This record gives sequence, C-alpha cells and structure tokens, in this order.
Amino acid sequence: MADQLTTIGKSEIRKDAWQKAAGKALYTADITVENLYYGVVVRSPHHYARILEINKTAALKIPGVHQILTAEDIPGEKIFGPLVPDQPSLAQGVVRHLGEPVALVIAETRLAAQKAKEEIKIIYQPLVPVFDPVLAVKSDAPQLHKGGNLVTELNVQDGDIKRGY
Amino acid sequence: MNQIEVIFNLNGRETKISCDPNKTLLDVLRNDLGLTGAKDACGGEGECGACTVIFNGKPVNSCLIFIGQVIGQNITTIEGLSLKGDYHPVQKAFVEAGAVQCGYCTPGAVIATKALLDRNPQPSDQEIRDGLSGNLCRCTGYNKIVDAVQLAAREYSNG
Amino acid sequence: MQGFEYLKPGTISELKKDLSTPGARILAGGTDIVPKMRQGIFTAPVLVDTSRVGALDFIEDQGKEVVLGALTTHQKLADSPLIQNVNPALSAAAESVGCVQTRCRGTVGGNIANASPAADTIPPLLVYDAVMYLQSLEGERTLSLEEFIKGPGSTELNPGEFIHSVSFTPLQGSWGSVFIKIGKRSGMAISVVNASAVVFLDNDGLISDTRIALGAVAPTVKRCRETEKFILGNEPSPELFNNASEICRKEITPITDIRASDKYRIHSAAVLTRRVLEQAVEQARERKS
Repeated sequence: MADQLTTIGKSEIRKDAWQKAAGKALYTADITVENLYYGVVVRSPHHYARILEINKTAALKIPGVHQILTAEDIPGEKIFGPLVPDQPSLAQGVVRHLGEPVALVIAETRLAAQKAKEEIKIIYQPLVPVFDPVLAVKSDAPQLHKGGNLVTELNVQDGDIKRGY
Repeated sequence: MNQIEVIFNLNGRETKISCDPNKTLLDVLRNDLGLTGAKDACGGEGECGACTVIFNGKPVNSCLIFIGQVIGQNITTIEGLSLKGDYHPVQKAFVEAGAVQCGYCTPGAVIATKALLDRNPQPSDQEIRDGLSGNLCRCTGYNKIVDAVQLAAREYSNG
Repeated sequence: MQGFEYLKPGTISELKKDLSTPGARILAGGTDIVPKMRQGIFTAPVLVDTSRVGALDFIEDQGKEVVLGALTTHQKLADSPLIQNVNPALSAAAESVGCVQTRCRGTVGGNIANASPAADTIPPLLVYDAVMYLQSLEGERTLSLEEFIKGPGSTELNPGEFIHSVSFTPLQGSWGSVFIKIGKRSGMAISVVNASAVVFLDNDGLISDTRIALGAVAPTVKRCRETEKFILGNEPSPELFNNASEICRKEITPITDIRASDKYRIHSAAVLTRRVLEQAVEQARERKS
C-alpha cells in the first residue's frame, strides 16, 4: 500500500511557488486595466453616533475625483448580514462602531482619493455607546437597532446528563 | 516639471525611458516597464524590502531611488533571474525549502539573498539573518527563508 | 510626490553652481529624503542629485587625519578595514544603520545633515571630536561636528552649502572606542537610545581621557561632559561606572515618543553608558598588551 501513496508522507511544492519566486505571479496591485479607478473608504471615528450631515462639496472639487458614494447611492439591498441583515454597506443615518464605512471616494489616483477623503466634512452627534455584551442585553442599555441589541438566541441541548453520569 | 531621459542597463539590456524625475525606480519598473515583480508593501518608505533590486551589485530599495539616479547604471530585478525561462538557484531554493507562502515578500527576499551570496557565499545563520534584515515577511516566520538561503548557499558552492 | 527640477552635476564645481540655484537641495542616498518628500515633510523645488560626484566618495588615511567623503555609504564604512582599525565605534555604528539595503545607499554626509537626534554615525564621530568641512560657491569653512548640529533636523548648512567631508584624528596610546544601540528590534531599527565612548588608559591603568556621547536622549546627540569629568583620573571599576551611569542621567533630556518613554530612555542611557565604558576599557587594555 505504502508504495502506492503519491501524496501522503511526501512534501509537496506549492503550485504557485514557482510563479511567485519568479516575480511573475500577478497580485491585485500588479494589474492595470483601462479606466481604472481607486477607491478609499471614509470611516466613522465614533463608536455610536448619529450622522447629521455629510458635505462632499470641497472633496468633489479635488482634481481626479470621480464620485463620492454614500448609502443613498446604493441601488437595491443596502443592508446585509448572515443571521439577521443588520449591517449596512455604507452607514445610514447612524454609525454603530468605530470604523464603520460611511462614504466611498472614487478617483483616478489613490492620492486624489486620499486628498478627497480629508476634505469630506461629516457632522456626527456622538451617542452613548455600549461595549459590554452582558450590559447590552439589559433593557436600559442603549438600543442600537430597532429590534434591540439581541441578534438571536440559540438554545443548544443534546443528550441526557443524568443518564450519562 | 521637465521630463528627463534615462538610459540604463536593466537585466542585461540597455533600456531607455523618458519620464518625470520625481518617479522612483520602483514606480518606473512597475508602471512604465511592466515589471511588477518588485512590490510596494510599506507605502514607499523603504521599510519592507519587497521592492529590493540589485543596483551595481548591491541590494537596494528601489522605492527610495529617484529614476535619474540610475542613469548609466546596472539594475537587476527578480525578472532578470529567470530571463531564459529556467530558474535561478536561489529561486529554486526558496520554492523547494517551502519559503514561499503568499509570495509578496519573495521577489525582494530572493534578490536580497542573491546579493548576500554573491558577497558571502557561505554565510552563517546570523549573517543570513543580518543580510535579510531588510526584508519583512508576515507569513513564514522567517525560518523557512533562512533554510532557503542555506539551501541556496549549498547549491552555490556546488557550482 | 511633488515635482521638482532635477539637476545632476558630475564634479564638485558643477555641484557648487547647481546648489546655488534658489530652492536647491541635495539628494545623496535618498533614504531619508525620498520618504519625507512622499509625505510632504521635505520639499525641494530643485533637487541636486550628487550620485555622479565621485570626488565626494572616499575614505582616506591622510596620516594626521582620517577623512570621509560626504558620499561614503554606511556599508562602505562598515566594510572598511581602516575604519575598523581607527574607529571601531564608527564601524559598529555604520553596520547597525537600518538594513543592508539602507546601508548600500545611505551616506555619512546624509546621516549628519539629516541631524536626527537618533542618528547612529554621529555619536562615534562626536567622541572623536570630528570636524566638518563645508563648501559652497562662496568658499569653504570648517567647524566641529558638535557646532555643526543645531537641533533636530537643523544644521549650520547655509543655502548653497554642502558637506564635502568629515574628518577625525586617529587615537594614540591605549584606547578603546565602542558604540552600542538599542532599538525596538535587533535589525532595521531606529535607535531608542545609542551610546558611544572613547576611553584612554595611562601606564598605571588609570583613565587619562574619556569622551561619552549619548543619542536619542536630547534634541541633539549629547556629549556627557559631567560624566566624563567624574571618571577622569580614576581606576576603572564596576563601582566607578555604576556611579558614572547615575551622573549621565542628569545630563540628558529624553522625550516620550512612539518608540519609548522618557523613563525608559533615562534608564537605558544609564545602562548603555556603563556598558560602553566597560567595553572601551577592555579594548584599551587589550590594545596596551
């Protein structure tokens, strides 16, 4: 049997190692296409806050900036999530964690996108955040979502402890 | 800004380009010459070594060299190690030693290794680590890279 | 990256002319300048690339002095048997700068002109009382390395002026010269604290002269003259060096930054002072025998 093994017990060379060692493997940054734009995400500096205003005027004037997208520009589904769809692709009216994407800058160069990002003026009203899951389930905790802070409750039971022990 | 004309020896061939002088060698290799083997993994600060090329026999970070500085000089990139389609002993060693994971640091590390072995064909473990201290790797933990260099050194000395 | 007019002189006289263009700045190895230009911290409407000025790339034993051309790379310094002999501290410092890629491009002139308080080649030159030789279209002048550096990133260089070379006198007698640096990792690290010392022993084994320099603990690299005075004339001993390391704490004014706290730097400066002195004495004893 052992003499029939072709992979088990043997060292395999990665299929892509040769291309990588030759510098020929193409990574995303290595690919150029016509009309390539660069995107930079503008993220929330607050843990929990209401978005009062997003002002793109100055940012749109930066040479090379093509568009600045916010939630209202998304056609179709704006929210996703595995158990419960509660995660917006781009924040809508409220940000619920530090770093939540609020806007997407699209420009001809990475530098132009970066510059535009710095020119976007967003006014937030910070709210009281909650960081502790035990506190978050309590009824007096700040409610981050319409249905409350509890995503779901799963009860896992199997077997018969009394019989087993 | 006036463009400059740059004629230099790239991977054994005389190469001529005209461009803005504020482009680095890395910019020109990747964007103007289609040689994307050298990578930018630190924002062009000379901190990661993924852009390492050989400049007149010495390993250097191509992101820190303005293109005018290579006029009349010799540059070897990772592509220059397998011009004829077969692989350089150092490339073979990296592949066989399992030193290639995501591969982003690999061209820089291979070039730095070639430069090291050209200078010191039988480096000690510490000399290998010193010689490659400018090449950061997030995947391998460096031990396989050291193994690869040792393997390459054995191949070098065997001719 | 900002645009600039690019000039590339081939000789010292061409360099003098090009550098007197308004707004002209020097490009040597580029290891400090290129990232700074990318970040917009350093701007130069005119960039004068010195890589063709071979006359500034040399290490010369001129008998009374050892002279380093401004364009000498750290790697060349590290590999030089002459420097290993006459200034082992400088050899060690040059070997410790950045990584091999940095060392093959960065120059001693650039390191000094950049005037980082954490520069590695400055302490070993300071303890040798190195002298700077500056040139411009207007003329030339010399001044001590100590006078040359005014503050972080600030030197005596006037517009149109460049470093031609830096020189120091080889030491005589029983001497030791040492450089130690600590950083956040063992390679490719900016010094959190560095130290260099020169110690001379007389025929009775007492310390007849000493110079100590600490880096990254003050706006400029600091000669610790109080500590030097304290040690002078004494017999080397662990107790002497422990006491000395306490004195040097008062001569430095480190800050807290992204690499380390001021407290850590004060503590480390004391430790490194003791170590460089101990090792310099050991070297001096070996040289004697």
